[in-house]
Amino acid sequence: MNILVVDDSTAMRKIIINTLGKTELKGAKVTEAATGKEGLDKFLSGNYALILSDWNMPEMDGLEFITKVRRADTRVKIIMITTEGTVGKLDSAMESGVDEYVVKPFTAEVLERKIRKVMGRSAA
Amino acid sequence: MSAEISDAELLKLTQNVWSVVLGQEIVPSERDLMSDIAGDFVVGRVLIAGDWQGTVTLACSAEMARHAAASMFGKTPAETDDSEIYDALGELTNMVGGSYKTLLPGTCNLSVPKVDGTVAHTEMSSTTGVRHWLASQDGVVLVSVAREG
Repeated sequence: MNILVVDDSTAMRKIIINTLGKTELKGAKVTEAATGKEGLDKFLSGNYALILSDWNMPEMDGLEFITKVRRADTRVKIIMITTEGTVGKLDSAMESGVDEYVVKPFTAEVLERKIRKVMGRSAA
Repeated sequence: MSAEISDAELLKLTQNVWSVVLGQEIVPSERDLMSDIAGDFVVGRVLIAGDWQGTVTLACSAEMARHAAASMFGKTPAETDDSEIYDALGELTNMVGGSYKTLLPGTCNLSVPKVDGTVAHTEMSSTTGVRHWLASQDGVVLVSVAREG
């Protein structure tokens, strides 16, 4: 399984990847991208089952990235990881094709639960 | 008070970021802690634009910033380099600013965080707006909010 992690913060990508290692997805191949544009380029040239993406990024933000991903692929699971906790904005993310969202700051347990939920596995 | 958000809420959301991300308690201080720090600061800023406009600034003493980065990168403080410190402080600023924005009424957008790198101790007194100091065993944090317009 291939997973794409998109966040402009290297520290946050590391935290997300460490959390992935605590789930059943341990061992999956993880590809990193630092902007929505880089993420889109990697997505279009790969075959991914899961995307974890930040919202607030330079060049191309997470919402535009997700919208473009969904035009190309309706099956990939997408989790938005964001500081954006405003209900209206989260609604717009869900309407753009996000399967789940996690609001920063988050605990590893919350992210693990969301990953298991979108990947169709039971929560711990 | 700053706009519609109380000082207590600003402190609480800053403490929550430290607690959840770093597993560390930071305690608000009623006095200015500037005189406790002789070294430099690392400063992150995010702009909020929309129905409310202003800047949220997070300034960490150099040792505090290094320890925070070490925790986020899973390294020791001695192994942590400047780029990792700036990256980590940018993300912490993003979280504090984003949490603040979520409490604001109306529609607002958050900028990508900007980290100024090392800022001389003497320049920190120019930070404007509502200012609060917090401290842990690793150093001090100044969180400030300045409304524009």
